Amino acid sequence: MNNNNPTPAGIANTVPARITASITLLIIAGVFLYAGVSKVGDPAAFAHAIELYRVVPRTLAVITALWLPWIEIGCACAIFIRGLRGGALAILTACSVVFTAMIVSALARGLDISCGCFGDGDTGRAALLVSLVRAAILAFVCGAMFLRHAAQTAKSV
Amino acid sequence: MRPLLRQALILLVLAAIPALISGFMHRELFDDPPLAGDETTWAQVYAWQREAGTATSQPRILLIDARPSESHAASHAPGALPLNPAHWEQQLPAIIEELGRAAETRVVVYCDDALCDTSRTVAERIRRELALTNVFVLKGGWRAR
Repeated sequence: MNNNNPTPAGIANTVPARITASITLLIIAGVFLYAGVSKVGDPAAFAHAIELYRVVPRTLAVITALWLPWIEIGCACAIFIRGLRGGALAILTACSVVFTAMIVSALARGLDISCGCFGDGDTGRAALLVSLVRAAILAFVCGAMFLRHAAQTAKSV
Repeated sequence: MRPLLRQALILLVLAAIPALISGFMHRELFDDPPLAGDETTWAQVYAWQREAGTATSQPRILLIDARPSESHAASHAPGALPLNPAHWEQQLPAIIEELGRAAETRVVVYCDDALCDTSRTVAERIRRELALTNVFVLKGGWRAR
Protein backbone atom coordinates (compact mmCIF):
# COMPACT_ATOMS: atom_id res chain seq x y z
CA MET A 1 0.00 0.00 0.00
CA ASN A 2 1.59 3.19 -1.15
CA ASN A 3 -0.53 5.18 1.35
CA ASN A 4 1.28 3.52 4.26
CA ASN A 5 4.74 4.50 3.07
CA PRO A 6 6.51 7.18 5.03
CA THR A 7 7.40 10.36 3.18
CA PRO A 8 11.11 10.99 2.41
CA ALA A 9 11.29 13.10 5.57
CA GLY A 10 10.02 10.15 7.62
CA ILE A 11 6.57 11.62 8.16
CA ALA A 12 3.85 8.97 8.32
CA ASN A 13 1.28 9.11 5.54
CA THR A 14 -1.12 6.43 6.75
CA VAL A 15 -4.87 6.99 6.68
CA PRO A 16 -5.04 7.67 10.45
CA ALA A 17 -2.09 10.06 10.13
CA ARG A 18 -3.83 11.91 7.31
CA ILE A 19 -7.09 12.09 9.27
CA THR A 20 -5.18 13.41 12.31
CA ALA A 21 -3.42 15.96 10.11
CA SER A 22 -6.72 17.11 8.61
CA ILE A 23 -8.30 17.52 12.06
CA THR A 24 -5.20 19.40 13.26
CA LEU A 25 -5.39 21.74 10.27
CA LEU A 26 -9.06 22.30 11.01
CA ILE A 27 -8.24 23.19 14.64
CA ILE A 28 -5.42 25.55 13.58
CA ALA A 29 -7.74 27.26 11.10
CA GLY A 30 -10.46 27.56 13.74
CA VAL A 31 -8.14 29.04 16.35
CA PHE A 32 -6.68 31.65 13.99
CA LEU A 33 -10.07 32.46 12.45
CA TYR A 34 -11.44 33.10 15.95
CA ALA A 35 -8.34 35.12 16.92
CA GLY A 36 -8.62 37.28 13.79
CA VAL A 37 -12.37 37.85 14.01
CA SER A 38 -12.20 38.73 17.73
CA LYS A 39 -9.69 41.53 17.03
CA VAL A 40 -10.66 42.84 13.60
CA GLY A 41 -13.63 44.89 14.82
CA ASP A 42 -11.69 46.90 17.39
CA PRO A 43 -8.23 47.83 16.08
CA ALA A 44 -7.90 50.58 18.71
CA ALA A 45 -8.13 48.06 21.56
CA PHE A 46 -5.72 45.68 19.84
CA ALA A 47 -3.26 48.51 19.09
CA HIS A 48 -3.34 49.42 22.80
CA ALA A 49 -2.76 45.77 23.76
CA ILE A 50 0.30 45.67 21.46
CA GLU A 51 1.57 49.00 22.83
CA LEU A 52 1.44 47.61 26.36
CA TYR A 53 4.15 45.09 25.42
CA ARG A 54 6.46 48.15 25.05
CA VAL A 55 8.30 46.60 22.12
CA VAL A 56 7.18 48.67 19.14
CA PRO A 57 6.31 52.37 18.73
CA ARG A 58 2.67 53.42 18.54
CA THR A 59 2.56 53.74 14.72
CA LEU A 60 3.88 50.21 14.24
CA ALA A 61 1.44 48.94 16.88
CA VAL A 62 -1.45 50.52 14.95
CA ILE A 63 -0.26 49.06 11.61
CA THR A 64 0.07 45.62 13.24
CA ALA A 65 -3.37 45.95 14.83
CA LEU A 66 -4.89 46.74 11.45
CA TRP A 67 -3.02 44.08 9.46
CA LEU A 68 -2.52 41.07 11.76
CA PRO A 69 -6.20 40.11 12.25
CA TRP A 70 -6.67 40.02 8.46
CA ILE A 71 -3.49 37.95 8.09
CA GLU A 72 -4.87 35.49 10.65
CA ILE A 73 -8.26 35.33 8.92
CA GLY A 74 -6.70 35.05 5.45
CA CYS A 75 -4.24 32.33 6.47
CA ALA A 76 -6.97 30.41 8.33
CA CYS A 77 -9.01 30.31 5.13
CA ALA A 78 -5.95 29.61 2.94
CA ILE A 79 -5.22 26.42 4.91
CA PHE A 80 -8.10 24.86 2.96
CA ILE A 81 -6.62 25.94 -0.42
CA ARG A 82 -4.00 23.40 -1.48
CA GLY A 83 -2.00 25.94 -3.52
CA LEU A 84 -1.69 28.36 -0.57
CA ARG A 85 -1.49 25.93 2.39
CA GLY A 86 2.31 25.98 2.65
CA GLY A 87 2.49 29.78 2.69
CA ALA A 88 -0.37 30.01 5.19
CA LEU A 89 1.27 27.51 7.55
CA ALA A 90 4.63 29.29 7.22
CA ILE A 91 3.05 32.63 8.18
CA LEU A 92 1.02 31.15 11.04
CA THR A 93 4.09 29.34 12.40
CA ALA A 94 6.10 32.57 12.25
CA CYS A 95 3.26 34.49 13.94
CA SER A 96 2.98 31.90 16.73
CA VAL A 97 6.73 31.98 17.35
CA VAL A 98 6.64 35.80 17.53
CA PHE A 99 3.63 35.69 19.91
CA THR A 100 5.49 33.22 22.14
CA ALA A 101 8.61 35.40 22.17
CA MET A 102 6.55 38.52 22.97
CA ILE A 103 4.84 36.83 25.92
CA VAL A 104 8.16 35.46 27.24
CA SER A 105 9.60 38.97 26.97
CA ALA A 106 6.60 40.47 28.82
CA LEU A 107 6.88 37.88 31.58
CA ALA A 108 10.63 38.43 31.89
CA ARG A 109 10.05 42.18 32.31
CA GLY A 110 7.25 41.64 34.84
CA LEU A 111 4.65 43.47 32.75
CA ASP A 112 1.13 43.30 34.15
CA ILE A 113 -0.72 43.02 30.82
CA SER A 114 -3.10 40.74 28.98
CA CYS A 115 -2.01 38.66 26.01
CA GLY A 116 -4.30 40.49 23.57
CA CYS A 117 -4.37 37.32 21.46
CA PHE A 118 -8.16 37.00 21.37
CA GLY A 119 -9.28 40.58 21.98
CA ASP A 120 -9.92 41.43 25.64
CA GLY A 121 -8.44 39.06 28.18
CA ASP A 122 -7.42 38.70 31.80
CA THR A 123 -4.31 40.55 32.95
CA GLY A 124 -1.67 39.29 35.34
CA ARG A 125 1.15 36.80 35.41
CA ALA A 126 -1.06 33.70 35.71
CA ALA A 127 -3.16 34.68 32.68
CA LEU A 128 -0.02 35.50 30.72
CA LEU A 129 1.49 32.10 31.60
CA VAL A 130 -1.64 30.39 30.26
CA SER A 131 -1.31 32.46 27.07
CA LEU A 132 2.36 31.47 26.83
CA VAL A 133 1.54 27.75 27.01
CA ARG A 134 -1.21 28.22 24.41
CA ALA A 135 1.08 30.18 22.06
CA ALA A 136 3.92 27.65 22.45
CA ILE A 137 1.60 24.71 21.68
CA LEU A 138 0.23 26.59 18.68
CA ALA A 139 3.76 27.33 17.44
CA PHE A 140 4.74 23.67 17.82
CA VAL A 141 1.61 22.35 16.08
CA CYS A 142 1.81 24.91 13.24
CA GLY A 143 5.53 24.14 12.80
CA ALA A 144 4.86 20.38 12.71
CA MET A 145 2.09 20.80 10.13
CA PHE A 146 4.28 23.10 8.07
CA LEU A 147 7.12 20.55 8.05
CA ARG A 148 4.70 17.77 7.13
CA HIS A 149 3.30 19.84 4.27
CA ALA A 150 6.82 20.73 3.06
CA ALA A 151 7.85 17.06 3.12
CA GLN A 152 4.75 16.00 1.20
CA THR A 153 5.31 18.75 -1.37
CA ALA A 154 8.95 17.67 -1.80
CA LYS A 155 7.80 14.07 -2.34
CA SER A 156 5.26 14.99 -4.99
CA VAL A 157 7.79 17.08 -7.00
CA MET B 1 11.28 27.52 -1.15
CA ARG B 2 10.36 30.00 -3.87
CA PRO B 3 6.71 28.83 -4.21
CA LEU B 4 6.37 29.08 -0.46
CA LEU B 5 7.59 32.68 -0.46
CA ARG B 6 5.25 33.48 -3.35
CA GLN B 7 2.30 31.98 -1.47
CA ALA B 8 3.19 33.87 1.72
CA LEU B 9 3.56 37.10 -0.24
CA ILE B 10 0.18 36.62 -1.93
CA LEU B 11 -1.47 36.06 1.46
CA LEU B 12 0.20 39.11 3.01
CA VAL B 13 -0.81 41.33 0.09
CA LEU B 14 -4.39 40.00 0.16
CA ALA B 15 -4.57 40.69 3.91
CA ALA B 16 -3.19 44.19 3.35
CA ILE B 17 -6.21 45.19 1.23
CA PRO B 18 -8.88 45.02 3.98
CA ALA B 19 -6.25 46.28 6.46
CA LEU B 20 -5.75 49.41 4.33
CA ILE B 21 -9.51 49.94 4.10
CA SER B 22 -9.79 49.46 7.87
CA GLY B 23 -6.87 51.87 8.35
CA PHE B 24 -8.65 54.48 6.25
CA MET B 25 -11.82 54.01 8.29
CA HIS B 26 -9.87 54.27 11.57
CA ARG B 27 -7.27 56.86 10.50
CA GLU B 28 -7.70 58.69 13.82
CA LEU B 29 -5.68 55.82 15.34
CA PHE B 30 -2.53 57.33 13.84
CA ASP B 31 -3.14 60.64 15.65
CA ASP B 32 -2.15 61.23 19.25
CA PRO B 33 -5.23 60.41 21.34
CA PRO B 34 -6.88 63.57 22.75
CA LEU B 35 -6.73 64.30 26.46
CA ALA B 36 -9.46 62.65 28.50
CA GLY B 37 -11.53 64.89 30.79
CA ASP B 38 -9.37 64.19 33.84
CA GLU B 39 -5.99 64.19 32.06
CA THR B 40 -3.47 66.98 32.01
CA THR B 41 0.03 67.60 30.66
CA TRP B 42 3.32 68.79 32.13
CA ALA B 43 2.90 72.08 30.21
CA GLN B 44 -0.45 72.65 31.91
CA VAL B 45 0.99 71.72 35.31
CA TYR B 46 3.86 74.20 34.87
CA ALA B 47 1.31 76.87 33.88
CA TRP B 48 -0.80 76.08 36.97
CA GLN B 49 2.30 76.23 39.18
CA ARG B 50 3.18 79.66 37.75
CA GLU B 51 -0.37 80.90 38.36
CA ALA B 52 -0.38 79.51 41.90
CA GLY B 53 2.99 81.18 42.55
CA THR B 54 1.84 84.62 41.44
CA ALA B 55 -1.80 84.72 42.53
CA THR B 56 -2.88 83.43 45.94
CA SER B 57 -6.45 83.08 44.66
CA GLN B 58 -5.31 80.22 42.39
CA PRO B 59 -5.44 76.62 43.69
CA ARG B 60 -2.20 75.05 44.89
CA ILE B 61 -0.76 72.14 42.94
CA LEU B 62 0.01 68.88 44.71
CA LEU B 63 2.00 66.43 42.61
CA ILE B 64 1.66 62.79 43.57
CA ASP B 65 4.20 60.23 42.42
CA ALA B 66 2.42 56.88 41.94
CA ARG B 67 5.57 55.06 40.81
CA PRO B 68 7.23 52.43 43.01
CA SER B 69 9.04 53.84 46.05
CA GLU B 70 12.48 53.03 44.57
CA SER B 71 11.74 55.12 41.47
CA HIS B 72 10.50 57.99 43.64
CA ALA B 73 13.64 57.78 45.79
CA ALA B 74 15.85 57.87 42.68
CA SER B 75 14.24 61.01 41.25
CA HIS B 76 10.92 62.81 41.29
CA ALA B 77 9.27 66.10 40.39
CA PRO B 78 10.03 68.91 42.89
CA GLY B 79 7.55 68.76 45.75
CA ALA B 80 5.97 65.50 44.61
CA LEU B 81 4.85 63.15 47.36
CA PRO B 82 4.91 59.37 46.91
CA LEU B 83 1.64 57.43 46.94
CA ASN B 84 1.36 54.02 45.37
CA PRO B 85 -1.11 51.19 46.03
CA ALA B 86 1.58 48.99 47.63
CA HIS B 87 2.23 51.55 50.44
CA TRP B 88 -1.15 53.26 50.51
CA GLU B 89 -1.75 53.21 54.26
CA GLN B 90 1.75 54.44 55.15
CA GLN B 91 1.90 57.20 52.52
CA LEU B 92 -1.65 58.54 52.61
CA PRO B 93 -1.34 60.53 55.91
CA ALA B 94 1.33 62.80 54.40
CA ILE B 95 -0.96 63.51 51.45
CA ILE B 96 -3.90 64.33 53.75
CA GLU B 97 -1.67 66.62 55.82
CA GLU B 98 -0.48 68.41 52.68
CA LEU B 99 -4.04 68.80 51.39
CA GLY B 100 -5.03 70.39 54.72
CA ARG B 101 -2.56 73.25 54.21
CA ALA B 102 -4.69 75.00 51.58
CA ALA B 103 -8.40 75.52 50.99
CA GLU B 104 -8.18 74.51 47.36
CA THR B 105 -5.66 72.18 45.74
CA ARG B 106 -5.31 70.63 42.33
CA VAL B 107 -3.98 67.10 42.70
CA VAL B 108 -1.94 65.78 39.77
CA VAL B 109 -0.91 62.11 39.78
CA TYR B 110 1.83 60.70 37.58
CA CYS B 111 3.41 57.29 37.02
CA ASP B 112 6.18 56.13 34.67
CA ASP B 113 4.89 56.76 31.16
CA ALA B 114 1.84 56.82 28.89
CA LEU B 115 1.34 53.07 29.23
CA CYS B 116 1.27 52.73 33.02
CA ASP B 117 -2.14 52.61 34.68
CA THR B 118 -1.07 53.27 38.28
CA SER B 119 -1.64 57.03 38.06
CA ARG B 120 -5.23 56.45 36.99
CA THR B 121 -5.77 53.84 39.72
CA VAL B 122 -4.35 56.19 42.37
CA ALA B 123 -6.32 59.18 41.06
CA GLU B 124 -9.58 57.23 41.16
CA ARG B 125 -8.83 55.99 44.68
CA ILE B 126 -8.05 59.54 45.90
CA ARG B 127 -11.33 60.79 44.44
CA ARG B 128 -13.21 57.95 46.11
CA GLU B 129 -11.51 57.87 49.52
CA LEU B 130 -10.84 61.59 50.02
CA ALA B 131 -13.95 62.83 48.18
CA LEU B 132 -11.86 65.19 46.02
CA THR B 133 -12.88 66.32 42.55
CA ASN B 134 -9.85 68.33 41.41
CA VAL B 135 -7.74 65.25 40.70
CA PHE B 136 -5.88 64.89 37.39
CA VAL B 137 -3.87 62.15 35.69
CA LEU B 138 -0.65 63.36 34.09
CA LYS B 139 -0.61 62.16 30.49
CA GLY B 140 2.74 60.69 29.45
CA GLY B 141 3.87 60.35 33.06
CA TRP B 142 7.36 60.99 34.41
CA ARG B 143 9.07 60.29 31.07
CA ALA B 144 7.09 63.01 29.26
CA ARG B 145 8.44 65.85 31.44
